Amino acid sequence: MKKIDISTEAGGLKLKNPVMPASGTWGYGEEYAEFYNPGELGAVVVKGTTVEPRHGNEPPRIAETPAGMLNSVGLQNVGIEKFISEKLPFLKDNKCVVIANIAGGSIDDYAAIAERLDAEKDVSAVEVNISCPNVSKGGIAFGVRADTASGVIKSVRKKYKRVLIAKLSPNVTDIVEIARACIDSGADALTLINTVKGMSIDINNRKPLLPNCTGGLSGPAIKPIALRMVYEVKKATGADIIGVGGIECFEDALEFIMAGASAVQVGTANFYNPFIMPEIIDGFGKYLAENSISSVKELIGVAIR
Amino acid sequence: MNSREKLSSEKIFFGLREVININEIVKGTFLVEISSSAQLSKSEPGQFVYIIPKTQKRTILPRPLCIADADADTVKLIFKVKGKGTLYLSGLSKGDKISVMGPLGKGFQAVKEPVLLAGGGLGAAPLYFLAKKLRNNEKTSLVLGFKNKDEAYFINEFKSVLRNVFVCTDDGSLGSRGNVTGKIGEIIRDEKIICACGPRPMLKSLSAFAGENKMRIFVSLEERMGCGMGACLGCVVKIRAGGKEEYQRVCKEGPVFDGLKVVF
Repeated sequence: MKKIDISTEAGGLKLKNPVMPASGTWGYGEEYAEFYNPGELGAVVVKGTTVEPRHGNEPPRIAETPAGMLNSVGLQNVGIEKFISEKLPFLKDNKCVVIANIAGGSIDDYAAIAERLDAEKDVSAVEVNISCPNVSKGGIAFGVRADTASGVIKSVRKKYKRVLIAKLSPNVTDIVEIARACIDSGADALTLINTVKGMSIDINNRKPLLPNCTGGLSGPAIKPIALRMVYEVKKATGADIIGVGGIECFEDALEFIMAGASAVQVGTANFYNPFIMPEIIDGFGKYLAENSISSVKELIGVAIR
Repeated sequence: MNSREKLSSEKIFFGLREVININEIVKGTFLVEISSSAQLSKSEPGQFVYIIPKTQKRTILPRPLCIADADADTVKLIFKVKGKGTLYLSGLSKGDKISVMGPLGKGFQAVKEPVLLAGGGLGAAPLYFLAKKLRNNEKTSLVLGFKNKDEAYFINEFKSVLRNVFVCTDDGSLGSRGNVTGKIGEIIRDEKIICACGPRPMLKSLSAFAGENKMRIFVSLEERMGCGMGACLGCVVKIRAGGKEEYQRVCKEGPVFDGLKVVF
């Protein structure tokens, strides 16, 4: 039997398998450690982290929608210092490849976190969140224009020397333009996509269900959108991509790889199957063996025409 | 076969359980009994389980249901039909398999007699489990509040485990007329603790009552929930902690909180 290699690489970041959680859906890795060792995953992407701790948005923060859900958490997090002192050691002890998702209200915020994390060798990569739809300042505001996206990525690039990933919003006219701007500004890879802005109305109260009015749509409902964007960006730019959006089984993950993703993130599906990520990892091994393919890398972008 | 045939953790069961019994105990409110597991048998009063409905309505999220009782054989869950998920659950039949994760959350802890239990509507359910764990003596009293006699349930079950059971209804159609907080005020003796589960306004007024009377109060809260594991920060409530207000997770720090610290 041929040796099966499910390892992959994104923006120079070596991953022992292509599966990792989407930021914000898996806390800091410790929450799901009850079920399995987070070190089994390709990487762990932690909750979006800001300079100062944030309280987040007023509840309710979640609304279920057909084949998906809206969230409006608003980047509640412990802040960068507590992340480093209280959350990072656990991930290090479990030999996780740590990707820190970072967010800010200003370019200076992003630069400050990038500089702080550059000193933390246990953080292998930063995923720059310029696409959170649920905060009033920063987040998506940076990610919907090529010039502002470029400004953030450049400022992080100056301060952070290891792998830099830009997480992009689907709520744009031309995703390829933003992707190019990020790559040209020094991003090593792209995460595609963040949630799709949406809303839900409580017909009994005649008000938006979420106090913040809108939220980010995730889950199977957005998979075709995410897949299309991965495909378009890979085809146009050739950049390394981490695909995310509505993956709930191995076959979904494989579609993303074939559309051009080098790795995948799983978000909402963790909520209804806490073992979904190890299942997808097992799925890759099985698929490669059954199809006599030696490496998952051979499948990246094979569907592009 | 996949190497992860055994999926549960030591503390949390995840997998299929069988419906042993299901009954509509009052209109729209169901008692479902499912098979237990090593983890589920160790459930504590106030904890909940996540049921993952396989509806044909494109729902994806699990539904948190309070545990009304649990032992080595069965787990009793009580729910009211409110939407697509609970409608699906209400249609289950004996022998059906459902996907279950739990027990989850932090229940009623450090509860010692003498204690007052206060349940409003569906909120009575976890108190049954708690009442069973407490001794059947004069030191535990329970007040159950319902809209009217048609919505009242489990009264005989409560009476079989507790001697002092008081019932009140909004319209006086069963027991005395009035609300739970009023009734608690009437029957209170030397109790120093209240354990409560029910609608927010009831928990708010009870917490105010407890504060005025220098009592401790534990309240069980609910909020729209995502992961159930403390990871997504979806189900938060505002809590006073260390001189500040912060959002804490119903699924992790709760669902049972110190009522004096809840920002209602």
